[in-house]
Amino acid sequence: MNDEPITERFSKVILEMGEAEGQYRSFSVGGLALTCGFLPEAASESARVFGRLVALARRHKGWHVAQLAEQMALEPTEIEAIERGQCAVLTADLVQLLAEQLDLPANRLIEVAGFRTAGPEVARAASEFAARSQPAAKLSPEEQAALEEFVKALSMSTQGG
Amino acid sequence: MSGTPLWIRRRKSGQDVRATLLDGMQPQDLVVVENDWGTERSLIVQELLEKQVDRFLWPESIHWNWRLKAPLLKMLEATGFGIVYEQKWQAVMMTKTVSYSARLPEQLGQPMVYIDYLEVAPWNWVVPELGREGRFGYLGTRLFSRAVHQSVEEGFRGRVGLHALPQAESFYLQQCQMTPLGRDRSKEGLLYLELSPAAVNRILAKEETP
Repeated sequence: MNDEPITERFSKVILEMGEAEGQYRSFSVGGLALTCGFLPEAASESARVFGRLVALARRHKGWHVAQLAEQMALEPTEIEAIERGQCAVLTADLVQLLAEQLDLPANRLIEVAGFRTAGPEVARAASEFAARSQPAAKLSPEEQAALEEFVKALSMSTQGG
Repeated sequence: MSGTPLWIRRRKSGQDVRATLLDGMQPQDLVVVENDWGTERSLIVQELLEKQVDRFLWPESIHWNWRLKAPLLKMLEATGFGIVYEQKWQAVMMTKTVSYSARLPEQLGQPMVYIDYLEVAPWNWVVPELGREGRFGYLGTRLFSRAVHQSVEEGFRGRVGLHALPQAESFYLQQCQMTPLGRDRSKEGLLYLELSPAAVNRILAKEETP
């Protein structure tokens, strides 16, 4: 491969930084663990409500899980996991992309998913939505109404800042 | 995808090896990353459980799944970088160039490169509780340095910002000399750090010959 010492190829600063790497546990940048107990239980509840909203919004569009998965470049099993509220799968960026696909307000959806503290309007709407919706196969008139009211509440709170 | 040769270090032997830094990773590359890394992650979790290592000492990116980040590479502002050696992805980074702007007073509101995600392969993790020293070093340094260069190429004068995981904060503070600018509630309370012009100059000064 090569026999030259690395010091001949690296700048002093890069050399120092690289040499020091072994002292650090991590260089990771991005999101924290949603699993492993790093986030409070409340986040899991948010993920469940979020998952139910995604499921209903998808069905409202008449899409199968596979169709949404294809548009998101994900596996159907991953969409199913999101819809089941498995927060390990969820990231803030994915929430944003889902919002785009499902025509939902991204900034409020982030709150619903638990990545940002929900304002009182969003929290109340989410709570009511969770109580009224069921993850049934077919969108019942009640679910349809619940979904429409929730989306309306999200849109109104978006308009209100 | 374009490649640039660079040197990384095999930690155990201290031998320098010539790897390749690749720009422009595609979503399917992240599928390969996760296929390779996922097995090692599972192995490490198993070891952590067997040795009853305190959860707060677990690698904080242990739950990550790069395949789930693949859709993000479709965004126009996103770029994926990776270091390859022995036909394996040794470290991966995703950056964005539009969504975030600088927060330091001297460069407030100016465009910058935001490091969205950066992680080294699980076999390169340092986990003292498991006796793991990591196979290759210089990976975090090289990717961070690449982000600074990307910022220069974009005309952003080396401005770089990121949200570090808690275990990584000290690396970015001490080694990269980034300025801490507070924790963001919208980012799970992670510390936001930014590279000042002086810190940029330090990193870019006396750059090595490729």
